[in-house]
Amino acid sequence: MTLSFPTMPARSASAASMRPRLLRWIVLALVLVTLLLLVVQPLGWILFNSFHDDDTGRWTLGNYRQIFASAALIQPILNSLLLASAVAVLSTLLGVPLAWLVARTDLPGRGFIRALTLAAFVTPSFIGALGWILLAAPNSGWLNVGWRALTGAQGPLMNIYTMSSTIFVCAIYTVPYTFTMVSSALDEMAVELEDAATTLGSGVLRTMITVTVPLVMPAVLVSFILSFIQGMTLFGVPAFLLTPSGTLVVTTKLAEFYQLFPPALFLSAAYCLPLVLVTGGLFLARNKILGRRQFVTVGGKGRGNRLIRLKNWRLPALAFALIVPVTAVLLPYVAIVLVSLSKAWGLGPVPSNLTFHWYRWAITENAETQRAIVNSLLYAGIAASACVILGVIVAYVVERRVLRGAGLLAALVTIPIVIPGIVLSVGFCSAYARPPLNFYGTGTIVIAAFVATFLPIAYSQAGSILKGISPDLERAARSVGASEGRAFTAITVPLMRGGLVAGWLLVFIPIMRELSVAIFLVSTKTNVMTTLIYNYKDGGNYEAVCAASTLLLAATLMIVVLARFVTEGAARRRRNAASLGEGQ
Amino acid sequence: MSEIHIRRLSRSYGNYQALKSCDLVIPDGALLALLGPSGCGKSTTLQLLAGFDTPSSGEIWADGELLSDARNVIPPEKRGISLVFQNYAVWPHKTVAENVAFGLKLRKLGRAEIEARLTKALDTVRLGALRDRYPFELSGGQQQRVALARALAVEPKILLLDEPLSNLDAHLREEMRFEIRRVHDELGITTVYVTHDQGEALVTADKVAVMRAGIVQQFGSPEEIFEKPANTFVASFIGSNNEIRGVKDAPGTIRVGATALQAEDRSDAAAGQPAVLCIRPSRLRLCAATEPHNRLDGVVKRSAYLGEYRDVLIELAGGAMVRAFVAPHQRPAIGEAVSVHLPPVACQILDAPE
Repeated sequence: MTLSFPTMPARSASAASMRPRLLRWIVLALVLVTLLLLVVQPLGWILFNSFHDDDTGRWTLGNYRQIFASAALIQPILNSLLLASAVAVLSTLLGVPLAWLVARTDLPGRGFIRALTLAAFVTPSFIGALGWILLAAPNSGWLNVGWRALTGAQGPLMNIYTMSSTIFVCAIYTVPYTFTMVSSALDEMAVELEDAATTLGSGVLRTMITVTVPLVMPAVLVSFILSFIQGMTLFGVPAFLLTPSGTLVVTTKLAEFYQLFPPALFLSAAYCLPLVLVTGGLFLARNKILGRRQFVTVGGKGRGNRLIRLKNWRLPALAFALIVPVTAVLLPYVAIVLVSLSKAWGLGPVPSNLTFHWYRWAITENAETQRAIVNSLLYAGIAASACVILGVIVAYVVERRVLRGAGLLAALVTIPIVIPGIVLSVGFCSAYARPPLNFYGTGTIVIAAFVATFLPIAYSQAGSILKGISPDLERAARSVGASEGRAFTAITVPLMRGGLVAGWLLVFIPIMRELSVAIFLVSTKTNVMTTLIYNYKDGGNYEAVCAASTLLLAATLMIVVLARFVTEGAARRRRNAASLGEGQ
Repeated sequence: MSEIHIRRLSRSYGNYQALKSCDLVIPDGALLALLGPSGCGKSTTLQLLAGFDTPSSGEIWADGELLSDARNVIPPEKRGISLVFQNYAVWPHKTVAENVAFGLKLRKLGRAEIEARLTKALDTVRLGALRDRYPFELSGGQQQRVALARALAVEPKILLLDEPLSNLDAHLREEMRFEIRRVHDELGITTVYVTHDQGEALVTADKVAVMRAGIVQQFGSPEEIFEKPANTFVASFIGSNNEIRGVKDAPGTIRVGATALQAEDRSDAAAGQPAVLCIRPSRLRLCAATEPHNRLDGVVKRSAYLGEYRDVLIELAGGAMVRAFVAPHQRPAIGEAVSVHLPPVACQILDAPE
């Protein structure tokens, strides 16, 4: 084929595409700098500090040597490992059968149990621990008082200030993770997979062992790992339940370093590292287990009303299924609310002891609680918004392969998932409590730490929303004349909106109940509800602590209810959108 | 309306060469079909034309303007090229009218003008009555029309269609072929149509480029592609085809077994080298065993009645198989010895495939 080509000078292609590219680079540069400041800088300081001496400021391996040489430093690590393994085992033993009972059987009250388990999900575990102190403190705990009154025994029925009680309390607040993961794996599993086994002559039990269990095994393993990580990184519960008896775990030992004068910052940095290694290693194991299955759900038809009949087992099963709702929600909530309504909790729940004084005090009289309420809402609102914005931009860059180094951005926003809150707190202290970036005592440092902690959730949420939106929808906008930015704002963002509101709430709620990230970063002016409750508890004023906790719980639960409302609407819209957007 | 010049266009992904030095000229106002099996490079070509991908080398010109080369790609929104997607990509959060008017609003046109062009685009695809529906209230074919109207409303210089009918059911697909051709005749926009369906390409296109493994195998009118395939790949990809292996005797003569056959010679093979005789099953005729010219003898192996014709599979003396579509009233029995006539005008000698 012979071709003659026009030789006239072509309009420069680069001039036409210059402006949008500039904007794109500015946005990306801003995101990168933010991530460096939020993630790399604090963690970098931890690493750097861990190799320096607290007294002389010189390079040293002494911190690490000290950790492994001193029994006082090794013991908390061993305690943490014991706590974490026991929590993981116990929450698996409680959570997996619970998920199966609720998802697959005709257990009575399934909706109620599911709702209360989710309520346990949003309950800050340290507030649960507080409730359990009221219930089972060896002398004054109500259960023990009642026990003694009933039996005339001298000793307590149970002592909450022990390792086994701590394991129990940590586990009941970790069960919701196991429950959610396993039950959604069960929900999503195609009913045909089990039916296929049944049509081949397999009975209920055999089907469960040969089909159901292997299919949910990844979810079980992953939630076991997550429970272990929880057990390693929880701060509030061991601080409330173990520290009084002098038993320390890694997180509470870190807090102790901070309470020294002067604080042993560099030693504590080194002390963070074993914790990070364990969580990081476990996270890698989790990814390995999920592998490529991470994004595949075994889809199928609705299950309808084909439930396994428990028959005579209904009552024992119900008793088992109520363990978590009763111990994680009902009992501690009742205790906390009653104490919050008491003049003095030692007098017990009698009419003459009733008062609204502590609520009046918390809401209208006490400037500290007022400020903390405002701070909690304000910081959580700002931090959740920042998380979602960053998460959406990074997820967009990664999903749509906007540029080659996208993997790096994804890694940066995901790193905090393996960093325990208390460690991040140490990092922010080191990075931003010194010139030139001295934000110590300001709201900025608290918000920044919240953003860093919850970036991974926002990012994965945004990523999964984007996966449901076909890139062709954006390309179609480009092809009729929309710029990259315009296609993003006119097509992608509206399609993401419902999901983003839910995603925002998914970040907002855990920020509201987060304690360990904020604990070293707040000042009297920047206290949030959680840190204030923590500090008041140290003061021993349980009635005030309970009133403040009730307010926090009420606020969080209200937001959760709102979140469910919004998520369900969004899911419906997304289904409509997905049925069109995806390649058919 | 635009003339498109594609010059030595290549695209590699790592070691994989999706497109190898492709040259094409698409005349102003023509409808070109890019036809080939999956992985042949046709979709890559379309993505390059639309500006969603950057060539590894080569150039794309439209009306004397360089649209793409390895260094610079005019972004999709500035090319005046509309793309209709295989999965329609109709925006689910916008009504039919909002979908179609989106591109017009971007151009900051007056309200009256937007309304006029919206109405015209909807009328062109006969969707005027459904303008306030949401996409999930539409059938697949209607969504396809929305996508087409949306692409046409901005009055593009070039229209690209990426397998636009592959998600429709067979009946609708046939109807939409003619619809696309009608819209093209009405508006005369230079159009590139990607498809793997030869029927679609033959019905809709002025020109067809048959592609395979990133290389354009043949570029020509539908008749040329069908009647005079450039090689055995094109011959067998477009319609049914018989390939009978033989040895070239002399220009215009090929020996199959002991029989010499006359045919149009379009091979490069020298005398004595292997070549292939190509003939469409519909051009073969059952004949008497006494037919003196271009006759092959064989035995019927299978006979299938298809209503409009009968598909007969014949094993030739040398063991090769040929298919003949014969009139349905002819009923050769299985095992019966038959003779077929291969009219020289319907026969071509092509190079044997590697």
